[in-house]
Amino acid sequence: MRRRPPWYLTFVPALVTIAVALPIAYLAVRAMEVDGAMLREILLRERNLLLVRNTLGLMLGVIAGSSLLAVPLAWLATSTDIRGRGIVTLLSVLPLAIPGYVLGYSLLALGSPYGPVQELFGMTPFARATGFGGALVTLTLYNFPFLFLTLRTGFLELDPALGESARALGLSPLATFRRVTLPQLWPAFASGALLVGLYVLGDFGVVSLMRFETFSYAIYLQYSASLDRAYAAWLAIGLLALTITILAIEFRIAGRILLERSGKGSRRERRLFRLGKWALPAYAFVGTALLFSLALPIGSILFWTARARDFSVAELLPSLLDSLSVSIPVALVATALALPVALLAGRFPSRAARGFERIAYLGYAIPPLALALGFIFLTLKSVPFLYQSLALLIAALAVHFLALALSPIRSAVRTASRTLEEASRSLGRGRRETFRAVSLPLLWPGIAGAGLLVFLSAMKELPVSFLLAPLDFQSLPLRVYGYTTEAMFAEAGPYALAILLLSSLGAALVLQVNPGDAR
Amino acid sequence: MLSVRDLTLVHPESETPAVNRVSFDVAPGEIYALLGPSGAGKTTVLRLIAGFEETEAGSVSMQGELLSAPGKTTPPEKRHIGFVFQEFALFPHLSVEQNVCFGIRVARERREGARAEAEARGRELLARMQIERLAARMPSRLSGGEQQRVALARSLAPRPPLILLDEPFSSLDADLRGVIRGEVRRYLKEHDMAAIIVTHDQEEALAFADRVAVMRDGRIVQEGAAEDLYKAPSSAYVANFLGGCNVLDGEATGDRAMTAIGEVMLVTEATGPVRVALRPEHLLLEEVNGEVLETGDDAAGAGNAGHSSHSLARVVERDFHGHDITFRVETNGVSLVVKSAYDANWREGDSVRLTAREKGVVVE
Repeated sequence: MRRRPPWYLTFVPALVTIAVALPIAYLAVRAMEVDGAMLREILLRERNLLLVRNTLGLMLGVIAGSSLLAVPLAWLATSTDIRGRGIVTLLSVLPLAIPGYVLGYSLLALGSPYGPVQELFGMTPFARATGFGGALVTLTLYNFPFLFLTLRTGFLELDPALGESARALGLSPLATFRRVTLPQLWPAFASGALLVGLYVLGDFGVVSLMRFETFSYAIYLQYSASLDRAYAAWLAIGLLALTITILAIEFRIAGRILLERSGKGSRRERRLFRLGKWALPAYAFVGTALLFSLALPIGSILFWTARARDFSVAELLPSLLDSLSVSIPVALVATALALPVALLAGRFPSRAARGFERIAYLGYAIPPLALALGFIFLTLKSVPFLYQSLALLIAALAVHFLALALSPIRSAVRTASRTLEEASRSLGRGRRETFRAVSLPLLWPGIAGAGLLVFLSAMKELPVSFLLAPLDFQSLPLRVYGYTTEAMFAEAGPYALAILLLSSLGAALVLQVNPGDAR
Repeated sequence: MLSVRDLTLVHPESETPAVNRVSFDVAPGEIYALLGPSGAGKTTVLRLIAGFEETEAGSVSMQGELLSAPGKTTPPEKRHIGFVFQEFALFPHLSVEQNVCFGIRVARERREGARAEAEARGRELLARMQIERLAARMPSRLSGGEQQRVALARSLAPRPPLILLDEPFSSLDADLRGVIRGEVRRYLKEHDMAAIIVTHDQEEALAFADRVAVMRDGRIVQEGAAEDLYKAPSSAYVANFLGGCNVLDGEATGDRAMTAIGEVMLVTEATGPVRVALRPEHLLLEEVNGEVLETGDDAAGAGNAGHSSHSLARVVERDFHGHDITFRVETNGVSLVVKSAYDANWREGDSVRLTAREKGVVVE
């Protein structure tokens, strides 16, 4: 009603907006620091075309590959009588726990000289996965669970009554599938595919390990060679433009999905498809998918870790400490910043509050390499003493991961509604007592969950750390990446295993927060 | 005990006030109902009294103490006013029993046996609301009706001198609603608690409250004892809201008025053009026994003193309800709703004799 939010609830989100906008602005500033002839030369480089083709080609390829895995898996796990549907679901989500660059490492290490494949067969039956093929396979294996999750929801929400009415109206089963079932699944597919597309655009670890020249990899090459930073800025802007296009498409589709789901009636239990003699091929398919997405990568990591015989766990410690020294502050800062954004959106809904939320999501959606590059230009120009400092890395990661903290806190804010506070006050409890007895117990799980989620994500973050970290900074992800680029697979093993364990912890956490996803 | 004066609140987005100069008093132990359609401002009045909203004009005071005035708002927890929310607002992290005991003051005293006393009181209310067996459950595992009863128990347990009830029985099914309503009413009277109930259900208001106020567009349009309001509505709006009504245009001369159904006796004398309200159960349908009836304007000449005249009507609709039958009849171009006994056996198209059994009420 007639309420104004307290000043800090607007101040902090405004601060976040500036923190997201400034690095992007500095990208533009740096990009414009070239004269006209130079600008024309940069924009008309033939390489640009190659980059666009490579990036979009990889994106479409990964979406197609992910569909080939995710569509059958989602259908099997939701709509058939396959045994152990819960396990199929769980195993189809689990590959998310292996970060892309760790997966890339494990696949490169798999087929390398003295790798597990050669040990077993005395030869490497397939060429080492690099270039387009390597990037495609790795990113597909990492990304198909995103698509699986949205499709699974789509299949579960299919209304059997619609299919039945189509049959009653005289459509054949095939026509029913094409004209009724597919259109119902389309929004779920589209939102999943866009998620995959966004990830591929932003990915740095996999494409650089596979040496496949997309925008991200080119930005890194330009930047690290220090030859032409203006060109790096232009590349980042190009990548940003692609990302924003995808986001705009997603935004429109998301609006449509809301409309389509509005008409909810009571729904009957779905009839499951009987696999019958198709059960065996179905199991074979699930098995093959899991062999490549889980068993081989994990096996490869374990194999190489075992190879690192003279490695003692104590060697992990400095890296672990480096990781912790960033991840813990990032978790605290991101959560502290997310709380006012979520409170403002939940308690004082307005156009501005929604805008703040969207900007926070933008900080997560824009390619990390572009964000990091913006932060570099920003510090070099205005606060050079912060360049390559731990403080800058923490700030950049906090901005980047803010959106992750937002969703759990947002749902907690929804639970701890204003009405509950009013109920407590009308029952005679004062403001502070109400906060202690009602609001805090309801907000706390969301805050803790948000902090943990950000912490675990920061522990395995690669691209932003890669560009912004101090010179002597060697976190776990940087170790894995560094050793892998030198083809020192045994040395990378223990670090990869450590990340894998942390990541599984994160996956378990997410599944506990959304237990529906496990079933 | 409670005194509300010229209470006003304007929502920022709208030009018309949500609550517009509302004034009324509630005596100790009295049950007062605010009745009106949704959007009439009833809930906002409750929220102003509870202290959840700040008033822009007017005042709220209780037992001589000023609680709300422009620029002054006593916080809700200092008011000793209970509130039952339409959306229940049960604490999701507390069990049913913990919810019910949340506001009992003795529970927070360090006194020996205070906790036991609070628990006993909570138990009693759970029993009266017929949800004793749910004491250990969490709110998320309750049905809507069960949640509503927990919400009632929770607000009744501290026994505040005044309790505000926002659609407190809306989620209960018909059978249970009557039982719980009676139980709440008894509890209020036992402990001499006053209550203000907000509802859009006229039957509920009439059955539960001692006094009823009808609200429209942020204002109270009429207030009075339930029966008085029913018998003598001041406007067609109130008449319609309290149980449906036929409103006829007529020309009054003293204690009677000439209308489309003939001459109708009036409760109060009037002259000139008037609107006359007649309740559906106050109209009588009878067999046309071959007698010739004067209809409409001709009936004026009949002038049988002290009685309303008859007119000839045609049945256009018959709605069987079991315990009674509602007919829609037409006469002289107007259409009226008539409630008849369960055994009335006219069908669509039949001709009937229409008479007003009771005097009509002149309304605005």
